[in-house]
Amino acid sequence: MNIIQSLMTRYLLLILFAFALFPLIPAIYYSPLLFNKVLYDPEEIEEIWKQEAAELNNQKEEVIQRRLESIKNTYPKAAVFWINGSGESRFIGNRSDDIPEHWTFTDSLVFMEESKFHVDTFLQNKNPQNIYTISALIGNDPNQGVMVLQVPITDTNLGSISLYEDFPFVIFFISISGAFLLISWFFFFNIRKRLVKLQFAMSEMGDEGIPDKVVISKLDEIGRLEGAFNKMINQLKCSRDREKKEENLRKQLIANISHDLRTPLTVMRQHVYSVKKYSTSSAELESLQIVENKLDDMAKMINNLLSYTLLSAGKHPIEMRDTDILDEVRKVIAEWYPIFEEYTFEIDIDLPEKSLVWEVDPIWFKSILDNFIQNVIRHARSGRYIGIQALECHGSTFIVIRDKGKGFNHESEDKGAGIGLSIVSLMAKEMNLDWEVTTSSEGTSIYLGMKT
Amino acid sequence: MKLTILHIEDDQEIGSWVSKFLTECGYEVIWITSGHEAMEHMERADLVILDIMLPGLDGFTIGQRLKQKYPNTPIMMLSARTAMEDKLQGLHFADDYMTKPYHPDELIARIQVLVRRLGVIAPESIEVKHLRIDQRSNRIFDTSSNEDIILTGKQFHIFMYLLDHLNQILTKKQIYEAVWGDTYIEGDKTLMVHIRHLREKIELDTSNPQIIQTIRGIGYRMSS
Repeated sequence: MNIIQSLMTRYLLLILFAFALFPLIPAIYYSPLLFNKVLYDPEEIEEIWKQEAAELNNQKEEVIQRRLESIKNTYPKAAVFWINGSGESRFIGNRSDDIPEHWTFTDSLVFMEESKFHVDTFLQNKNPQNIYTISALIGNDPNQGVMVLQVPITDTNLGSISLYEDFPFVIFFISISGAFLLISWFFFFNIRKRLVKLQFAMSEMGDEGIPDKVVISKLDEIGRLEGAFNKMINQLKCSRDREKKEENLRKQLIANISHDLRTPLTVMRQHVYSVKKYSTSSAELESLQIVENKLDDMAKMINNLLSYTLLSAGKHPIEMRDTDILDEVRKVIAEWYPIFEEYTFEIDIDLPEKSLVWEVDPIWFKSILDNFIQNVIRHARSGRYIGIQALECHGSTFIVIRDKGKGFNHESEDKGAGIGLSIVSLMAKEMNLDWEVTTSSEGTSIYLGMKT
Repeated sequence: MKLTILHIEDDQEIGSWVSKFLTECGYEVIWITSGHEAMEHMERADLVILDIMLPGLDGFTIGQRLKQKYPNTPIMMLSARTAMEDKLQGLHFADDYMTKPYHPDELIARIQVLVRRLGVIAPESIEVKHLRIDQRSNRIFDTSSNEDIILTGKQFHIFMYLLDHLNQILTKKQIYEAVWGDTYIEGDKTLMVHIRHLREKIELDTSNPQIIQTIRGIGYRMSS
C-alpha cells in the first residue's frame, strides 16, 4: 500500500498541521504589526535621554532646542518639550494642551504624579496608562530646566493589546480553529461513513444467504479491509458451492443406496409370495409371514433412513400452507381403517364437524400421523384400541392419539432405534408444531398441537 | 377380453417374476427392459407399469412421452425410488405410484382400481351385495326384489362415486366436493340427508346398512 494513501499518514499530517497552526495563528496575525511598525524601547530611550540631558549642561536655549528637535526627528511619534529654569515650557513641534505654558510647583507635582509609570496597573490591565513619560534634568541641575519626552505606550515594546478586546484576532483564531475542526470532522466522517457502509454490506444477506461483495473505493486501510471482506465472500461462496455439491452427492448416494437395497428386497418379497402360495404347512406359512413382516420393516427402515438424512440436511422439500387439519386427520384414518379392522381394533374417532386450520405441509403432517399410527399398530397392538380425537385445552386444539398398549417403557419386540420419532420431531419442529407423550402401562396418549 | 399390460423393467429378476405373476392373474404382459421400444407396443397396451431407473431414458421421460401420445392409457410407476420429490414428479403424469418392495396382491388391487376408475375396460356389470349395477346402461337392479332402483341425479352421483372407490373409506368432504363440485363446509347436513334417502332405496334394512357404511367421525364406505 502506498504510504501517502494510508489513513495513518493522513491522520498524522492533520495533527502536524494542527500543531504547526496553533502557534502560527498569532504569528500570522501579528506579522504585519511586527514587520511594519517600529516600536521604541523605553529603556534605550531613557538612557539616551539622560545622556543627552547631561550633554546639554549649560547650553543655550537655541542649542537645546535644536538638539531636542533632532531627537524628535529620530522618534517622530514621541512628544518632546522642555521646561527652562524659569518654569516656561518650550515645545518641539506642536504644543500639547495638557502641558502648561508656565509651570507652578503644583503643576509639576500633578504632572509627575500622572506620568508615573505604574507597573502593577499596567500588567493587570486596570485602566493602564497610555503615555510613557521620560524626564531628565538638563546638566543634572534643576536650575537649567527639565527635558521631557512622551511616547504613546502602544508605540513602545511595553504596548500590548488585550486578547479579549482584539476582536479581529479572536474571529481569526476561531475561524482557523473551526476550519481545523471541520477538516478533522470530515476526515473521521468519511472513515465512519465507509465503515458503516461496510458493516451494512456485512449484515445484509444476498441471494444465497451470503453478503454481496463491496466496491473498493480507495486503497487505504479500509480499502484493504473491503478487499479482505470480498475475498472472504469469495471463499464463502466457493465453500457453499462445494457444500451444495457434496450435499447433492450425499443425497444422490443415499437415494441410490435406498434404491439398491429395495431392489433385492423386492425380489425376496416376490419369491416369498411364490413360496407362500404353494406352502401347506402352518409352520411354513408362519415363518414366511415373519419373513414378509421383516421385509416390510426393512423397507420402512430404509425409507425412514432416507427421510431422516434428507430432513436433517434440510433437503426434504417443504411447502407450508393453510391446511384443514381435521380433514387431513380423517383422510389418514380412512387409509389406516382397514388395518385397524384387520387387527380388530376398537376404533374411537371423535373429531368435531368444524374446520381447524393450521399452517403446515400436508404431506409432512400426514407423515407425522402415519408414524404415530404405525407405532400404535407395531407396538400397542395388544391394547386393540385406537382413539383419535380433537381436544380443546387452554384455547388451543390438540389432536390426541390414544392406545391401550403397554406404554413406551415396555420393550416391544419390534422396537427400533426410534428413527421414526426422530423424523416426527424434526418435521414438527420445522412446521412449528409441538408434541407430547403421556405413557403408562395402561396406554399411551400423544398430543399434537401448534406451538404457542 | 384379456387386458394387456406393458411392463417396462430393466431388472431381470423383478421383470420376469412380475410378468409371470401378472400372466397367472389373467393379464397379457409385454415385458421390455428399456423405454426405447415402448412406443411401438403402446397401440396394444391397456395399462403401463413403468420403472424409473432404466438404461438410457429414465422412467419419468418415457412416462411423459407415453402420456402425451396416449393420454387415456393409465400409467403406474413401480419404483424403488421412494423420495417425495420422485413421487410428486411421477404423479405429474402417472395415475399411480407404487414403491418397491411392493406386495403382489396390492399390485393387482391397484391395477384393478386403475382399470375400473379410468374405464379402460368396463365390466358389463358389478355386483354389490344384492345389487347388480350395469355400467353401460347405468341401471341399478335389486336382485332381491327383481326391480330396478330409480335414483335421483345426486343420489346416482353419490352411488357411482362410492362404487368407483369400492371398499375405500371416503370422507364427507371428498364425496361432497366430487359430487357437488363445491367447497364443503364442515357441519353441512346435505350429504347426510342424501345418503339417508339413498339408503332407503338401496339397503334392505336402513337401520343396519350393509352397502353404504357410516364410518363414525370420518365418512362413508361402500362395501362389496
